[in-house]
Amino acid sequence: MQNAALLLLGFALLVVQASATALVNVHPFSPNLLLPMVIYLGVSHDVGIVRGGMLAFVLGYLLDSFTGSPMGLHTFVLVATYMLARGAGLSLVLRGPLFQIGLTFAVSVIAGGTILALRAIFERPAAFEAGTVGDTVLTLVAPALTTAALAPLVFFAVRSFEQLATRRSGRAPSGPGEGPGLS
Amino acid sequence: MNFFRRFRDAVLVAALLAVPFFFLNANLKDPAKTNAVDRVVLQMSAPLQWVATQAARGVSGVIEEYVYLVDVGRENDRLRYENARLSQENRRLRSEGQENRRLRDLLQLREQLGGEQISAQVIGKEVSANFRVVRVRLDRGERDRVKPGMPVVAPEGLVGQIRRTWGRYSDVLLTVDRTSAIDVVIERNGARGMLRGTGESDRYLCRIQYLLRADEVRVGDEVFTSGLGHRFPANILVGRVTNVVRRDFGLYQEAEVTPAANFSGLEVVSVLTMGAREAGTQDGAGVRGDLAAPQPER
Repeated sequence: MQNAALLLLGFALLVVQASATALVNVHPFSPNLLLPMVIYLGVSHDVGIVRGGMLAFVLGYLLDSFTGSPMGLHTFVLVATYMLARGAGLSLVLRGPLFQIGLTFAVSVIAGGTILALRAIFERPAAFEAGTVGDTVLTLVAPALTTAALAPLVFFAVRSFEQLATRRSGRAPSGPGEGPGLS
Repeated sequence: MNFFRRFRDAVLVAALLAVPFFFLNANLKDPAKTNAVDRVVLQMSAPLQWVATQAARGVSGVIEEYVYLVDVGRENDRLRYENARLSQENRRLRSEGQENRRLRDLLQLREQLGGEQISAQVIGKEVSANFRVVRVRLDRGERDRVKPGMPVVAPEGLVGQIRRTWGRYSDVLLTVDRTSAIDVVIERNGARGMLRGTGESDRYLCRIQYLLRADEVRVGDEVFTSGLGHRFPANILVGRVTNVVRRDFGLYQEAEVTPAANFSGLEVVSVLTMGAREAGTQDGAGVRGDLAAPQPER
């Protein structure tokens, strides 16, 4: 039930993201709303590593489908992001919006770097142009800024959604910042 | 037990990281260089990809449709407003075009008639029970030197004469009025007679009296003012013969004439003040050229 609810939320976020970016051209500041969600799953106490990894995998796959990226690109990045958040034990720093923004920004930059690295490795030379250093930095920082700015909203949405789903299933929720940090 | 669980988790985590890696590798590889592993991965990923793509396409289709419909609605409103605005502008331009045409005709008439004239706007019409105009009011009067008896002309032909004036207004006695009498001539044969209005309330009609019985009058003959009496200048078209009444006895015959002027549609007219009564030697709408020397066919 919770998994389905989270997938549904991820799907809704994707729809919002795709519709918004289709209506308003915000390039290169296109946010990735699934990234804060995966970070949240990574630091959430209720989500087991396998379950979280599977959710991140499916969400990444959906993101690839929506964005038209090569299959596996965002899937890998989201699973890796989930593992990173899970392994780093960042629950304590998610107590306030500023920390959420800061953490999401850092993770977004790392995820952006990973995407660039994967494309550089796997795509044929003609298909991928590295561009200038300024372009690369912009490609990494601009979406990270937008994603980070929207992170508190996504965190709130995921927390509310999870609480709703947990209440229906009769369990007490314990999101990030509400219990001891994961390690 | 705990060890196995941890081992299982580790394997699953590794698989979750490795699978997209393989997907990516297989998807981005040159199709000519794919190996057996890549083909297996592609075959495995294809159904998943199909499902995900269908889901994405379905949702984006719905969203696009919605956005499209919202845009269509907005566009529809805008076009409806634009349509109303253009229709209004079109009506205004058409009205201005008609007015322009009327004024041009009037100007032409003015040039043809010569003399001193005053343009006047029809500001009121008195109508009969059968919606026929029986009296017309103009926006020119005493103050504009308009006096009773002055001829009133429209581009189509004679309208009548000023009946009374006061201030800035005047009433027109139409040619179809029972009390109207105008000396006229039939252009084709020069036959003369007295045109009187019949005063009928359901149609515009005049009757020419005192037409000599020997004059051959036909339906369709054009009737002009003769200029006799100096009340009306000569050669202004009055109307056309629509019926000839010839009795078996007597010296005269009668002809029914339908006025050339459209009293129902009158908007702008010309009042002939001074000098115009002696004019009328040029051709034009509502004015005949050679009344001074009519050429009878008889």
